Amino acid sequence: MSTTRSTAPARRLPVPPRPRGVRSLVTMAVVLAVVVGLHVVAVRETQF
Amino acid sequence: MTSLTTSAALSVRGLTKRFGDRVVLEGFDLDVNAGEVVSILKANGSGKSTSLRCISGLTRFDSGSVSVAGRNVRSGEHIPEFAMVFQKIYLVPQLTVLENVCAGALGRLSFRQAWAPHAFPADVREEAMGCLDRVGLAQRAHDRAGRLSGGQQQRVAVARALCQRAGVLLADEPVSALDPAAAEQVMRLLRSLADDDGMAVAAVLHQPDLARRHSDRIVGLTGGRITLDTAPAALTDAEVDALYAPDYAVEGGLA
Repeated sequence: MSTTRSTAPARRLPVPPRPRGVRSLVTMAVVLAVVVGLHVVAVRETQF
Repeated sequence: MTSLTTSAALSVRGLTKRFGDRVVLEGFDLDVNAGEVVSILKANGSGKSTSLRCISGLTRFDSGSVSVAGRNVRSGEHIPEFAMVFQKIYLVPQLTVLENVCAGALGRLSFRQAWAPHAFPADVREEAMGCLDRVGLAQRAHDRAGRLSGGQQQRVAVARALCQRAGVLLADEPVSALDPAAAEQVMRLLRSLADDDGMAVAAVLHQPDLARRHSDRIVGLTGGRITLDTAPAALTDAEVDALYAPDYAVEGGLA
């Protein structure tokens, strides 16, 4: 007689936050600056 | 939760596989119980890998039967109870270690939950973290898989099998590409999966010493069927030499 392993899930552990590197922070800053800049230009060029 | 049963976790009877005129497996029988590690030894080209691929459904077999925990598996059928790790590890190197492990759960996720790595549900990600912790790599969860060493990548592949919730682990030369220390670490992991988690492990190996140290049974293939089934301590050097002797009849002799 033997035991069969059930298909029970493994124990769960919290996922640690993903570390942000300098490169990803710079990329995020550039994207943010472009988006804000485009909005500023759009508002200035719009005739209300 | 465990359940008692009188049947082996994996039972193979009379498996036959031909490639054209060449018979690779003929009357292949194998039983692996839960909590047991069985090593399969034989030289390259003897059908060891084909046997595992037939069992897992990656290759269709011609005749015979495969059952897992008493349930028959059809030729070519993929069931989540079988997980496989390979010599070539088959991780996605661009994805993180955690995302690779989460891929083990793809079979039970809907398209909405699995269309992209960042869409994996929180409970799957937490389970994958538990699997990574089990193989000692929780601290590498957010590293890209391609940046890990070969031994670490093989442990990630094992963690992916755990996340699949498989009861039977089929390992096709899992340590052939690893250095001795990494190979020892992977074999200890497979041993502990059998001992602590009750998995049934069948591993094709080319290292008789590793098989002796980490297996409950060692089987040898000759002519497409199991001709040796012995306890590791009882395996003699002569039997190993016979298993790895060049098969001139098959190869057509030396050139």
